[in-house]
This record gives sequence, C-alpha cells and structure tokens, in this order.
Amino acid sequence: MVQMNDDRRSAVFLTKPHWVQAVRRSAVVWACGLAAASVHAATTGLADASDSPLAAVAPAEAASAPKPVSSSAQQLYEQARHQLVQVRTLLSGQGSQSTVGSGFFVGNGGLIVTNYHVVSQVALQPQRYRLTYAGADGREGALDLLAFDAAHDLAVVRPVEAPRPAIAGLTVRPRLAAMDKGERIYSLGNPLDVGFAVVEGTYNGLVERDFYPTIFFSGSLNPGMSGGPALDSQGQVMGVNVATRLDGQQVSFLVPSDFLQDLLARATKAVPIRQPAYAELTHQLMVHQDGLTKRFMAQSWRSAGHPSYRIPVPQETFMRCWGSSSQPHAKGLEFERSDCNMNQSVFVSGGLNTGNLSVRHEIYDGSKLGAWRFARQHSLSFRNEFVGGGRQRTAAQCSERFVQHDGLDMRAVLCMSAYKKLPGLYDLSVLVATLNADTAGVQGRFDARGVGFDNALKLADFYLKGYGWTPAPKTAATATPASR
Amino acid sequence: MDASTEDSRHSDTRIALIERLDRDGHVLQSLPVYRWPVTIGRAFEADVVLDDPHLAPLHATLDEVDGQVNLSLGQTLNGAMVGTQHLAAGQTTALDGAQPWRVGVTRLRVRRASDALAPELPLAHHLAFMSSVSPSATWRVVLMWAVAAVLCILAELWLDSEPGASVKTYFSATLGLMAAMGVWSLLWALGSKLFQGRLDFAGHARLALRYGVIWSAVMVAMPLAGFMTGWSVLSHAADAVGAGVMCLWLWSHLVLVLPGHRRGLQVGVASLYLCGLGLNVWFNEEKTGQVFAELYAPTLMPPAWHLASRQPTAALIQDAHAMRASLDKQVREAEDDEAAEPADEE
Repeated sequence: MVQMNDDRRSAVFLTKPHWVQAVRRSAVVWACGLAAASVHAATTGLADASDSPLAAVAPAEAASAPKPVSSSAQQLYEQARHQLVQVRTLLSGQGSQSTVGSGFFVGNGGLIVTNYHVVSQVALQPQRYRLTYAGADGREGALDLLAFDAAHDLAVVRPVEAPRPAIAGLTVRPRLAAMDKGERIYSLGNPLDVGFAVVEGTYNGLVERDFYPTIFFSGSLNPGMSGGPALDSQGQVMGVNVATRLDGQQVSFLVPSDFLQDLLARATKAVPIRQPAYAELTHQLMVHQDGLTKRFMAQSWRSAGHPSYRIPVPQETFMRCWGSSSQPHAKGLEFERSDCNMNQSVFVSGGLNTGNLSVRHEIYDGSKLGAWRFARQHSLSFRNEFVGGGRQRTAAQCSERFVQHDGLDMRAVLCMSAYKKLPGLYDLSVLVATLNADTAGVQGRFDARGVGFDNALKLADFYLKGYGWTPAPKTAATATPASR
Repeated sequence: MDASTEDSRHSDTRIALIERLDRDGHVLQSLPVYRWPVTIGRAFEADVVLDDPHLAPLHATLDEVDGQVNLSLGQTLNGAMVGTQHLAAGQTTALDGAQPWRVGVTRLRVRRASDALAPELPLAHHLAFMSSVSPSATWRVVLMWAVAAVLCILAELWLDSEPGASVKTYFSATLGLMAAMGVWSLLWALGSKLFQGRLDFAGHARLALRYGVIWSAVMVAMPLAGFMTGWSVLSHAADAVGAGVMCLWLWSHLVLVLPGHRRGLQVGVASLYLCGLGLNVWFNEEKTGQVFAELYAPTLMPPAWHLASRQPTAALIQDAHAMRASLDKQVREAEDDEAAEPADEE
C-alpha cells in the first residue's frame, strides 16, 4: 500500500531513560473491562482490613464531606513530599542508572505504586537490573518488585528495608467520587531527573475512544514523572502519571486510580519477583487479547461508503480512523485511503508494544490508466507491505489463496508470526486485494498484534467476511466489472 | 630446426610433426620430423631448438620404439611433465599421441603421420553461426534482438508511467539502458580481444540482448503463470529461475571469450549457481523457515487472466491452521538458542 507517515498520535512515556524514550501514543494501553469488574469485587471484600493497602482507599462518603484542605500546589506538595519517591532502574553490576521514573507510597503497608514501564527491565531481566528509590525527603533504599499490571501500565514495589519511621501512604480517591471537567489536579514527580516537582493542571475527563479508560490531564508532564501521583484538590490520588503527547501542548495522560485496588491486593500477598516474569506477562496479555477480540468482534463493520464494494471499516468505539486521498485531478491512479488504529497498546519492553488492532484500506480508481497499467499499480501496491519479523518475533509465515466472498473475488494473504518470549501469542496480518474489475479495486489490511492463535483466525475470518460486492446502478458505479 | 640440415631432409617424407602450443591449446608453431630420434633443447646441435631458458642444451630426445614415441630426458634440472607425471633427468616414458607435454615452460605435442586423425569437431553454436552468415546478417540478428530489447524496455516504462508521460522520458530511459547494454558488450568484447585476438562485439551484443530479453520474459511470465494458475510457487521461484538465466548469460559470454574451456566454464558457472542457490535457500530457512524469500505472490493481473477457481474464505483459514506447528517450532528453537546463550536476554 501507499506508505504514509502519521505522527498525529505520537507520545512519550514519562520515564527518563539515559536516552529519550520516544514511543507512539498508541503504545499505552490499559486493562480490560473484565479485570476491572473483578477489582471492584475484591475491594468490597477487603474493605475493613485497616492495615491492608486497600485501606488507602477513602470511603466515598468521606470524599464527599468537605475538608479544610488547601488546593494550592504548595500545600499539597508539602503534604505529599514524604510519600513521593524517584524509582531508579540500575544495572546490577556497575550500578549506573538505566531508567528513572517516579512513584509514591500508598496505604499503610509500605507499598509504592509506579508504572509498569518504569520497572519493566527488572520484571523481564531481574538478573541484569535492580531497583532503588530516593525519596523527596532524602530517604534511599533498594526496592523489590511485587506485582504489575501491564495492561494498565501499573506496578507495585516495596522497599527491601521498611523505612523508619514508617510512612503513611497517600489515600486513593474512591471509585464513586466522580470529578468534573475543569477541576484542578496536581501531578507530582521528578521530571528529567532534575528534582521533585508539582505540576498544576486540569482534569478533562476520560480520553475519547480509548480501549481502557485514561484520564486526559491538561498539564505539562515530562519524562521522569512516570508513576508519580496525580492528586485532587483534597490530596487524594486520582490517577498515576503515564504519558504525554509530543505533538500537542499540555496534553497528558493519567491511569485512573480505580485500577490500583486489585493490584495492591495482589501485591500484599506477593513474593518479590526474582525471575523473568514472562509467564505472568503472557497471562495478562492473554486476558487482554481475549477481551479485545470479544469486544471487537461484537461490533459490526461500518460501511466505507462505496456504492459497490463492501469494505470492512471498524466502529470508532476504541479506534480512530484517518482518511486521505490522491491529489485532485491526478493523471494516474486515484485512491481514497482509510487508516484505523487503536490509540493504545500494551507496553511490554523498550522495543515491544503489542495487544492492539489496526485496519486499513485503499480504494483505487484506475480508469485513467487502463487495465494493464492499473494491474501494474495494483501489484506494486500489494507488494509494498511489510509483515511480521523483528527480534522479538519469529519470521512471518503466510498462506495465500484466491477467495470469493459475497460475490467479490479477492487475492487474500494471511500471515502470522509468533512471539519468542510470550508463548501462545501471535501477530496476524491479513492482506486483501480485490480482483473483480479491470480498472478498479480495493486493497485492505488488517493487523492484530499479540493475540492467541484461535482468536487470530477468528479475527481473520471476521475481517475477510467483511468484504463483498453489490453491483451498483451503472450511473453510480465507479468500477467496471471485468468481462469473463 | 637446424637450417643447414633442413634442405637435405626436405626430400624425405614427413613422418611426424612436433607442435608448440599456447595455453589454450592452439598451435603456435609446427615443426616437421623426417627421422627418429629427434633431440630437443636450447643448443644449436639440437634437432628442435627452443628458446626457453628453462631447458637444458640437450633437454630431451624423442624416438620411436615398437610403434610408440618415447620421451627420454637428458641432463636436465627441470625435467618434464607428461600428464600428471613428472620425469626427472635420465627417465623415459611413452607418449600418448594426442596428449600435450611440457618441457621448461614450453608445451609440445607430437603428431605422427601414422596416428589416426580425430574426427572434425563441430563449431560452438555461436562460432557456427558467425561462420555460416555474412557480417551483415550477423548485425541483422543483433538488430532484431535490439528491437526486442527496446520493446521490452518501452513496455516496462509504459506500464510504470502515467498517461501523458513525455516521449523524452521513454527516450532517455531506453537510451540509457541500451547504452549500458552496449558498454557491457564492449567490456566482454575486450575480453575476447585479449584472449582470442578478435573484438567480437557483435557476438557479445547478441548474447547480451538475447539473454536480457529472455530474463525479462522469465521475470514477467512466471508471476503471471502463478496468477493464472493459482500456483504461488511459480511467483516465488521466479528469482531463482531468473538467476539461472543470468548464469547462462554469464556462461555464454565466458565461452565466447575462452572457447577452449567450455566444459570447465560450464562446471564452474553451474557450481556457482548451485552454491548461490543453496546459500540463498539456507539463508531463507535460517531467517524465515521457508525456502523462498518471497512471502506471498504479489502479482495481480486483469481478472480475465485468472483461470484458477476461487475458494471460500474458510479454505484460507483452514490452510492457516497448518502454520501453528511451524511457528511454535520456531519459538522452541529460539528458546533453545537463548538457553545456549544465557547472557543474551534481550
């Protein structure tokens, strides 16, 4: 297909590695709805355990009661500075920093919350990396990684030696306490390893068309603030810093604090992670892909608006579609293009994001070219596709056939590659080129990254069956059916 | 041969010839023999005087004994090579009539009048062609292939261009490619001049144009056949067959330059092709687990050219089930490789 650069969705995580870790906004993805439901059930059952981390969640009634807390950034920082830490990933041998992020003590169990992407190196290569923290009040020490939630990009760590005196953690804003757009919120962290800082900004609701809820924070987050807390005006944690957009100004993102509860419950019972956590990561990605597949296939395809071709275009419930077309009055091939992507994916490691879907198509009109020139352009475009591969996956393998569905002849190619360290997860690419007209056609591509084999085939079948052909009245048809 | 004795011997019948050969086996000089024995060396008293500094004054003697020609070496430092056998001073061996032998750096061969003549060898194809037609006919053939090549180039350019592309685009690209073909042919012709003493530009141009057209035809026809029949392997294998055509192309030029080494070149180029093909397959297997680098057949033609039947989409999904075992095997191999190198985790 015609290749286009689209950096409209580019964003960075807020870790501060020794290199600038720039990734696409679509690299940040949150947990599935099923997991969120189980979190709520667990919270209810453990609500009376005063020494449980879940005690950090303030009762909804208490949140609704007026509190004499100043909303000034200065006072909130003073209240939270003892709970605020910088989380450092160090090379085990030489002890130099590999990445730095932020974190915060929560509840009374001495647990620290941060982002998964801040500690991912330790999760996947514990022999090579270790974690330490440095508090805003000068405390330092080693950390153990207890649990993580890759889909929501959250992790819980704990100081190897409990700090003396014990630190009372921040409280988490209760789930039911909704916020209004425009409320002031305060993000804390250590931007660019410069020093602890508080950033004042505005709550702007949830990001639209995200697979998992993400808070849209109008404030200036910077690399190094990942994992830091975002506080409401009463000093309660309402989100965790995670990412910012590079192509905008003060467009930043927070993980809602709702997702902390289940993770904290798991972390209290967990033993420190000492071996590469690929098995746990695979399990979480399996849950994620299953939910993603079910939600995606529960939706019907939208129409591409062509009078004759039925082309699968996804609903924009958790995907965004961008369109483009050839220049007006083009002498050669004319096309319209649609490019639909999920904004989120699951961060696995520095070189790997997965767990997302994308759908693309191009509608070609080659009436100015004639049959043979159009066939040439059709072929070149179909050839211009990259599938699979990379260091983290096996080489792609493909099956191909001439297929027919709903009156439409197509060349269809189904390619898959497997994840080397995440057994049972695969990348799927389905390429389609229609073959029913001499000077018109459609090429489409569907990609599913990090899905189970059976789900991959279900998605492929679902996608292929989205194509069809309805002969249009001659006056409206743009394609000339081939005479056979 | 000693000039003073030559006149008296001219009346006798020639009983043999001693031929001096170049490295390609061509006869540089032919010396008649009127009697046996014949002495060979640098000295003036030798019957065959050779100006080779690596020869002794009386290096060797040829004599006919019991119907065989024997080579006996005199007092020599370097000896002689007969086939793979090295003869030292004082040794004698029987010569095979057709087999060249070497004294010093000089290659010689003995042909007796009584030896049966080998049958006439047919000319190599290109030499037969050149000898059977006039130069103007040769150039007519070259022109015919040039027209075919130009048509191929124009067809490619036309397919890749938009309507209304200027004639200049076609002209400059065609001229450039034909000029490149001309330079290619000229370089090979210089090779012919170096080794054969004749600048066979027409012969090389004919080969370059012919194989260029054949290569283009193969690279178009195989994917097209794959599209028509639904056999994707034809498209996947196009590069391998195209490489085979290019090896034939190379071999044809080489044979024109070194016609005496036809068999050796055949073996050499075939080995080169097979080794290249093997390495390519091995590399693909290592990298992708498949024989061919092309993952899928991308060629799409007008629908009327597609003759194979269409399948329901379920057939493709069914095919894809077979990939699971192969992909999982690759994952296990990657795990094994990593287990062998525990330090390389990421």
